[in-house]
Amino acid sequence: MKRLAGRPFALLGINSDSDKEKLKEALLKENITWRSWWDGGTTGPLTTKWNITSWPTNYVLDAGGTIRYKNVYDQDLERAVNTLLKELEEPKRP
Amino acid sequence: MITYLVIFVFGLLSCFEQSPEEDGPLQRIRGDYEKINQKYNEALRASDNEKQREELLGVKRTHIQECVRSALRLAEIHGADSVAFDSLKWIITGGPGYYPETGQALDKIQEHHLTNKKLGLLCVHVKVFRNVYPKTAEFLRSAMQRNPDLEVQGLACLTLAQVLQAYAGLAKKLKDPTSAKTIEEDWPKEIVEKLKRTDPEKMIREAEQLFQQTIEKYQEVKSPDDGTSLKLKAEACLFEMQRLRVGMVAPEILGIDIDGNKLRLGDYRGKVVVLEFWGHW
Repeated sequence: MKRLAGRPFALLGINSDSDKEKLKEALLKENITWRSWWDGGTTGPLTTKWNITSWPTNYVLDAGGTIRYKNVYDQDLERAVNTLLKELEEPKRP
Repeated sequence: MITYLVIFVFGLLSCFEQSPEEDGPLQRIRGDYEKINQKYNEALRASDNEKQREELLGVKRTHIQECVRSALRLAEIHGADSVAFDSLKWIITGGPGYYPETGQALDKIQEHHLTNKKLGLLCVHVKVFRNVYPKTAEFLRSAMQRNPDLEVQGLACLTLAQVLQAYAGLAKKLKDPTSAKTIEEDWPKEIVEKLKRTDPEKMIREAEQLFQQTIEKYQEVKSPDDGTSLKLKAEACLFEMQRLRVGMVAPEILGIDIDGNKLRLGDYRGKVVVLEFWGHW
């Protein structure tokens, strides 16, 4: 996601590791710089509310906060994000 | 002594209730299955050759299928008694995976064991077998309607709602030519054909009604896998169906990040956001 530096994009995580200290170590080790909510485990409040039963799961939102894609990965994710960035960065037609 | 150890370990691994009577033949089948798993998993771990791993997986599956066939034969011999039930239960919940015999096992359960009070866990596990659809839905419907136990009814009801929701999603994707292609490549032809003839909106409405029914009628029942009440699970499913669909504005998320700082989804309006649910394990 470094390619997207400088563009209006954000990757936000909801993490379900149960050990917070181990998680912090892993983040440093893996050089993960994007922010995550810590949900305290696989039955945490966010995970339960959003009915997450398998990992990973993702939602892609446009700049207005609308859900536009769900569970897209690799090339599909790249395409989805690029489509939404284009929508945002292209001048509006009258 | 070893016998009890195998059962105990297997019970821990599979996380389901232990059968009070462990019959000789079924015990042997389960023991064989464990040995096959151990042997081939070790071999797979030791191999670094893709082709060799594929071959090993193929042989492993053939051997496991033999165990499943043996269990099915055992159930056939025993008819409607507890050995038959335990054998069929093992096929569905014991971990061997999907084989054509899985569908046959489900038929036998529906024929002889539909009113068994221990059917609950089976109902939950059955949704994993995607190739058995629509038999899974029919089985769950029958269990919900005919089993006298409240827990079994509740689990069948919730699982049926989840199955209908999942297949409605597939049916919807099949109506869109861009997403249809992947599904057609990935799923058995008979299932694709059936789903193409299905009305996804009708299935979704039925799923919603069943989630609602779970909340109202089965709120006391707890799920056997994590102890959460079926009411909470059904509410989460309904929330996802009604608030987290593509085209809807995502609900606000307000909380604390891993470093202890406030994190609010709403602060990221104006940016394209990927929300990733993740973990290490």
